[in-house]
Amino acid sequence: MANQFRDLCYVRIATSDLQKSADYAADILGLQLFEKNDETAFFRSDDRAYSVCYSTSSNDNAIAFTLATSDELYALSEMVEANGISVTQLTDADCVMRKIKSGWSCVAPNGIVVEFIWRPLTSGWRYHGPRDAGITEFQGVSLCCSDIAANEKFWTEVIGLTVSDWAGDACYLRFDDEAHHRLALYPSKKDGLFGVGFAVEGINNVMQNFYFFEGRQLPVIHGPGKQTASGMMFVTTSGPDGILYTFGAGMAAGENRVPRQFPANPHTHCEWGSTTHQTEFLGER
Amino acid sequence: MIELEDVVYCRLGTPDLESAEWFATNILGLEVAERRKGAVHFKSDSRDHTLCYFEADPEDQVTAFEIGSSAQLRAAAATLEGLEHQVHFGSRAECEARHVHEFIRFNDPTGNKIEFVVRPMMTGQRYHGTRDAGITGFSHVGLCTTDAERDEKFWTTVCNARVSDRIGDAPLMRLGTIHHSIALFPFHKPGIQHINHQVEGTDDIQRSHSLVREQQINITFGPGRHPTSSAQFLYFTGPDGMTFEYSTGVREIHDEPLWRDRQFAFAPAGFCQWGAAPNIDAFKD
Repeated sequence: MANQFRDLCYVRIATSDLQKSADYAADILGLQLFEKNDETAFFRSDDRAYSVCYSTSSNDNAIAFTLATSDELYALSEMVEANGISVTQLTDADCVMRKIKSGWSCVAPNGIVVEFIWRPLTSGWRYHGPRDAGITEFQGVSLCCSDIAANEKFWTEVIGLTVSDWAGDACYLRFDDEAHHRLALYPSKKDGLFGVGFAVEGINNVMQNFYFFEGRQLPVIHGPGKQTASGMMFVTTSGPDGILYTFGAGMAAGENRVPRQFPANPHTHCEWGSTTHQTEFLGER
Repeated sequence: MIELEDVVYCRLGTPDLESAEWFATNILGLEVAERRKGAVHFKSDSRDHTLCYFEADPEDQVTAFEIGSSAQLRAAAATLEGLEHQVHFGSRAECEARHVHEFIRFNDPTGNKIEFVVRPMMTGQRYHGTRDAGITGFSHVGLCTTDAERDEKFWTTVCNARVSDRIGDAPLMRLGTIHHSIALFPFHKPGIQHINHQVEGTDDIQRSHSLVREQQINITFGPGRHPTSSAQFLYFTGPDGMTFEYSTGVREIHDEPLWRDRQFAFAPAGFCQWGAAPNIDAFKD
């Protein structure tokens, strides 16, 4: 089942204040505006047309995975339906709005909308952010889950992702050999989208972003630190609507091996010993 | 020209030897090499010792450099006396206390106590720190200067130091291939401005940052990265106000004839390329 997805293509974040979210994405995160209208703003972090979309048209947050062919797209929808999960085909208008050829969606146990898409738009222009945050690509997404077991089961047994490692019951999921994980599930009191991650060139950018946050009195939720299981050096802040944003560097590649069990404690979530009050990173709910 | 091989040890007077030993072992992570009446010697690498705390006024501080032979030491003494420096030849007991074959002591033009030593003792025993600080060795010393131009001339024309870079008027000078073994920082009185130990890597800098912060040690600068030497660093305050630095990844200069000393700003950006600002008197205007 592994390697059936080309990439984790984009995240769409529901916002009540589009301008505030768009300003944050450009000024703080250093993302490049691709397109903006009354309801949506699309931002670039790499060669894709966009990897982050802010939208006022729905209250649902969504993430999208790209499949290589329409046959694979169809086969997966059959398989998901066979597991008793209802599937919604995206209309032509939905596809135009998402800048994709076709796709369908379902809802994960934690309530996030998961879209499976074909032929997402590529820009072809080099990403050039308004500030030098050092971003190289949209790295991945983390989700919080009040029922961690149900969510792990959905992502592994139904969707076909692979567990790279566990940190307590938190679980790091991969679908290719490029990254240790693209999706992380955290046991939590809440459900939904937890955080969005961007890969940066190296430790210089992680630390420069840390001092950038400090200098603007933005909350440093976690880090600068290093995730034990993945080796990723990171700094995490909190943006509009409570979404965590992480800049990370040095994440290990995906390895075909038995997943390792790490303890549910702060040292697993940061081997450098940075402090945090975010309970999910303390190994608590 | 007095040919100095390397910086070999610092000797620091302290009114509270017990506290100094606690800090050197539990915070810095050094290993006690020898306790003798009124003094403790500490190891940081395969040398017999690279730091000594002794019962004395904390302003009583000595920095020692190695000279290749007895003949060169005598020639150095003659050179210094010719420049009207008072030169003291170490007694047998003084040599024995330092674990050196012979040494001379004099004051540099600012009044810093300097020792030139011949045949400092090595040990076959590898350094094993009290805690796992990742220290690879004592590496450089920052000295206060009351006249940077005059003292730079002393170290580079009477001795063999070469200027690698300058931060404002503060020269960073090499003796071998390491970017700097001595640095001079303008200050209103003589003294050791900071003592540097190298650590293995980024993880050691960042983990020590967490440990030092948890121990409520005064962190004065960093974690950061010097644009001059490219080293990642952390500065903090030890007994009697002494500044200690850990760093890793210091630049080496192998193309001696091609290297051009560069001028950096005496401002936070000249000291750190990540955005940290120093809270160290001699690093501020």
